[in-house]
Amino acid sequence: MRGKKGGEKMFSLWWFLVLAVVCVAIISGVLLYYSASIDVRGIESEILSSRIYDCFISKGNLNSNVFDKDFDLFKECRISESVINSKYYFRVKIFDSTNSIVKEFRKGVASYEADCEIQIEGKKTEAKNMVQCFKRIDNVVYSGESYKIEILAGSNNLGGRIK
Amino acid sequence: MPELVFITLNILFFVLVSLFIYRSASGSLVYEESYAKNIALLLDSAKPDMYLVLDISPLIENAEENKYSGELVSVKDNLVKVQLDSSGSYSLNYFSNYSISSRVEGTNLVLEVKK
Repeated sequence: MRGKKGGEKMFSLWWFLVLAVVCVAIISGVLLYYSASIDVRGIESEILSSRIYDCFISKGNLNSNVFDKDFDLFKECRISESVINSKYYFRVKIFDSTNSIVKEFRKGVASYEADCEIQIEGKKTEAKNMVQCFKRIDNVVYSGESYKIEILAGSNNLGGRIK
Repeated sequence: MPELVFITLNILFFVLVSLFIYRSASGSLVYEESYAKNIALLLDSAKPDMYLVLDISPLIENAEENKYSGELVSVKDNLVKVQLDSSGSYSLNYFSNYSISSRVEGTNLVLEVKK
């Protein structure tokens, strides 16, 4: 009788230990699954580069106002300056037929440029919240001459929950 | 008596774990984040005079389950906010500077992009 009681006690202790292990496993699994963030920064970079491309180029021709001294990129492209300066970066380089830079724009968080270059080069990094970038190069025409436009865009727009 | 305590504790354990899984799977946080990001991407890639219609019935159902009757989606000052319960909202910036108006029509969110 005594042995049986001891066995029951042992069984209860082990049972609760098993329950605790199962509980921890379930909670960690569920939390890991549902806390995984949806990363759209790469898509945002691509969209940003397309927005800039569309505002610089129409029907394969480079818009002449791009070379104006008072060309306001944010106004022309209808992009929010404050948002770009806080979470994004982009660089636009226009090359002539001799591959010399004739016009260049750099806007947003300047420190993202180096991170973008590292990423575009394909080097592996361990940084979790590193900016996600996209680069496109297109051939365009301006005044009958061939030009090249290179757009590098990066986003680190992570978003978050506000209580 | 000890058996009764043992059984009660076991039942309590399974009820608590089930409740936790149900609450996590009901997905307020997941819905808030995915819809906020979806809307921000739509707005960033939208062009003037576009009329975007997004089915938000899962958001409405989720808010009803959470007994939340406030504004589900807000789009203003380059910020998309999605809120499904009174504990908080998920917000994300969008960079497009077009004039955007949003309204809920039935189970759809209607976004109008103007110059």
